[in-house]
Amino acid sequence: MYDQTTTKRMNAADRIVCAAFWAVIGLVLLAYGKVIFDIALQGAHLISWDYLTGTPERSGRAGGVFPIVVNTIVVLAIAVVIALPISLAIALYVTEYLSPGTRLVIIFRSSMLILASVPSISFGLFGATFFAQYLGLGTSLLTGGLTLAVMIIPICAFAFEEVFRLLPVGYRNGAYALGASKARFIFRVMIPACTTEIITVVLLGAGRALAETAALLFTSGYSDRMPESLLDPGRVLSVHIYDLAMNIPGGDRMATASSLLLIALFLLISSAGLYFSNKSRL
Amino acid sequence: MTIPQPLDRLSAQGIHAVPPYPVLSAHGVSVRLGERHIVRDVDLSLNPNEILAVIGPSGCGKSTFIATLNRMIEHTLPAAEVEGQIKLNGTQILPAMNDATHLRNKIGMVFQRPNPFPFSVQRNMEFALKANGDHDRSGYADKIEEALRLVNLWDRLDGRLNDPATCLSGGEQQRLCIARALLSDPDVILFDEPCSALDPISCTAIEELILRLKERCSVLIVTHNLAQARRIADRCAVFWLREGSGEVIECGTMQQIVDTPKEQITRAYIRGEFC
Repeated sequence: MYDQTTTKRMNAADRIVCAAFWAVIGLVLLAYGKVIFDIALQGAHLISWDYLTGTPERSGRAGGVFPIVVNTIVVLAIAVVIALPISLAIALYVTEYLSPGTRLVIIFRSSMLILASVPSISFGLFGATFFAQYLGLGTSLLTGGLTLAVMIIPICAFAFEEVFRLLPVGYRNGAYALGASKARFIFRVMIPACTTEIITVVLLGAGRALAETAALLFTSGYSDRMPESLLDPGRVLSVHIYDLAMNIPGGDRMATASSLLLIALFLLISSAGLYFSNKSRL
Repeated sequence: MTIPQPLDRLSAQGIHAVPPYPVLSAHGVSVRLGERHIVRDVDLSLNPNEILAVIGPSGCGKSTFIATLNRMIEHTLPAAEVEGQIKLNGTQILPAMNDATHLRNKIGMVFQRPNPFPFSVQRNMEFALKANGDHDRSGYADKIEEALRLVNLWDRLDGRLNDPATCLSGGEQQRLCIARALLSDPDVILFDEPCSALDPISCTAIEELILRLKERCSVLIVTHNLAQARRIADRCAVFWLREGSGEVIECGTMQQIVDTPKEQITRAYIRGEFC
């Protein structure tokens, strides 16, 4: 039994730890809040219907960003559509078909960790060499999307594997005890039960892809025209922001507007993803 | 040597469990993990419409043994090697026949902790029906209602089948899991300490349900609760750990095990002298 003094001391310690946590959370929120506040302050008044639907003029110093938003969504869609099934398949194979602790699993986990920490510029160089030159896709939206897919596959596969491993063992036992085959368990229990987590992982991967500049500099190109096919080059929002901020004199204001748009786009995709994942449960 | 035959072929030939054949029988079943025997040389049989309780201290291989009966051990302990012979309705299922999924339709299983899937009640029940190869959706409503009535959940869930199964109480979740297992009309249901995570009231409801199930199928229940075994079981098998391996030291009617146990260890265990 604790005496009263010990209890009081523990309560004081709890309060100090709690205060420290809140202080850290407050600092982080403050830092992020300041970034978003500054961007919103400088960029919000530039965002209008004309800006969203217009085409860039004078190298982006004026006009809108519609083709750039389209390019961004196309590249992101290619990356997610390619990366999602491949990374899901890798994670499912490792968790459901390989025994934990075997050499193959250890090799997989190490490889995914290493690949996930490779600098994105290296993926950009790989994409430019392999997809653009070797496969002859040139500098295009498709090359950009495929490069991003290769970049986010290890991140998503590693995260999916963690998600599947954390699935309560009762679901697995329950399904198999009812006579379910492995495929039925995977597609009717495991994936539906993990929908929210799967979407969260995809959003994390998509967020990484959406913010990516280095990998796309060499692969998707700089063109700010409306694309006519997947093999057309196209500038995405992050590259547009980079270009306005670094290469275009007087482009800073429009860069902040594009940054705000990028944040809004990601919030929109995340909210939609999480809303539909919650809906799909029952 | 008996050639293993698929259960459905035997059923089609009209071969069912008829006395004196037990519904389920295990002969010389051992479970090995590397060099170590977890369960050694177990002989047990389960008669039609009988409740057999398996009791014994923790870690003596009771759960491991019952997981061999429907080959769930392939998932719960994949590295284990199972030896011996197991027959269901006279059909050899160990050495393994190919179709473990069909076997599990015939030998249902309910676990320690209720494990409904995190979907609606309806989806939980439909999963069981589809896993049993039943794809005729027009019959689902009646089958689901019948199973839920059997476990006394229909009055509670009528009109609320789209509610999340995980929102039910622990006892209700366990009864839902039993209803799910009943949808395949199993010959045997294995219960692995089904009340260990439940309160006494829910536990009583489960016990009453198991007693009712006896009219439909045979039941093998692993329990640490001797009083529970006395309340519901017809026969009892006592597992004990000998030289690191679980063995059946005694098997008999519940009354004989409680009143006149043959083994000294059983007597001491029943009297709680090891506590």
